Amino acid sequence: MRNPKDICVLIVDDEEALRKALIFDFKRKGLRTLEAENGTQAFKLIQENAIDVVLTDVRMPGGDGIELLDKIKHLNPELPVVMFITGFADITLEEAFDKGVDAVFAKPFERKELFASVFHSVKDKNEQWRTYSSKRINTNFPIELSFANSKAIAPGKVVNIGRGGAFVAMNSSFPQLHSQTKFRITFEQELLEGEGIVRWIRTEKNQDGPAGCGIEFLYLNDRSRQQAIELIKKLKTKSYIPRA
Amino acid sequence: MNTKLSPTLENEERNFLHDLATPLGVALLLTDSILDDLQNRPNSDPDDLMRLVETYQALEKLNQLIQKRREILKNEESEYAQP
Repeated sequence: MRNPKDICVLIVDDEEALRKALIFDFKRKGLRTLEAENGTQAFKLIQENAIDVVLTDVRMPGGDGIELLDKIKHLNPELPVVMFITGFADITLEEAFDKGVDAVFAKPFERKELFASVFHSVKDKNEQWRTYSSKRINTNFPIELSFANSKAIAPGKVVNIGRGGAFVAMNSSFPQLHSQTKFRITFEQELLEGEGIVRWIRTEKNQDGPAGCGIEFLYLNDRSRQQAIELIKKLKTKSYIPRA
Repeated sequence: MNTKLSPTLENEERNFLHDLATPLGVALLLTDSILDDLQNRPNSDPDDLMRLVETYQALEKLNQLIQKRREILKNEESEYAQP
């Protein structure tokens, strides 16, 4: 677990009051903070400072969050980005995770969830995926998904893996959005066993890819964790959850 | 009777909800932060705490109304998108 004073958070939002409120709280928790009112200012700060996580709004005059995200991922695909979205057409969940966002929050967001997400994003993968998390998620729709070569409630095929999860192609029996899933997936001859959460669902094939869902990994058993970390290193992807 | 909004009005309402969500988010953040502080202080006045909890709940209710309206607009958006 990292010392909070070693963590620097960059907050990017054109609303000064929101920046100040977040800065107050992060400083209270011992983190270092930097702020910017648009993407252009933010990217300059990123180039000049050692930043551990970026929190950014989508809509901002003078350089929006999507453009900033693309620049960050071009510069350093590993730098975690948490994005505030409005829930409309700016960017879909699918696109955001594919572009490399680690977590998405709709404004107004839940303060404690945001802090938990920021602290989670700065952990290394081994630490992120070590803790069995079923107690962490409240869901009324627990489901068991077993992918590839197993008797399955909702059979699917893992098409791709990102830094934080996988895209699973499915033709029917889609899981509920935000539901928790246990999985056994085979990808490039590696068996990964663990637990995840369904972040987005594409019910029909479209230009982005086949029908399926994006699953964020929350827990991987010891063996799978090491395999997944090796796979991610090999794939060198910026995507957190790929959309195809 | 057609109760759907035209795409222009829908867009205006979407922007309005976005503009509303930011100050509401600030109010929720600050209220929750002060609540945390007061709850951790041994000498906090229980009446102050209760009034602040009620303030937070009122803001949260407003948040839920915005979310509900967003859902309605999203559904209308997808209906318009159909050929």
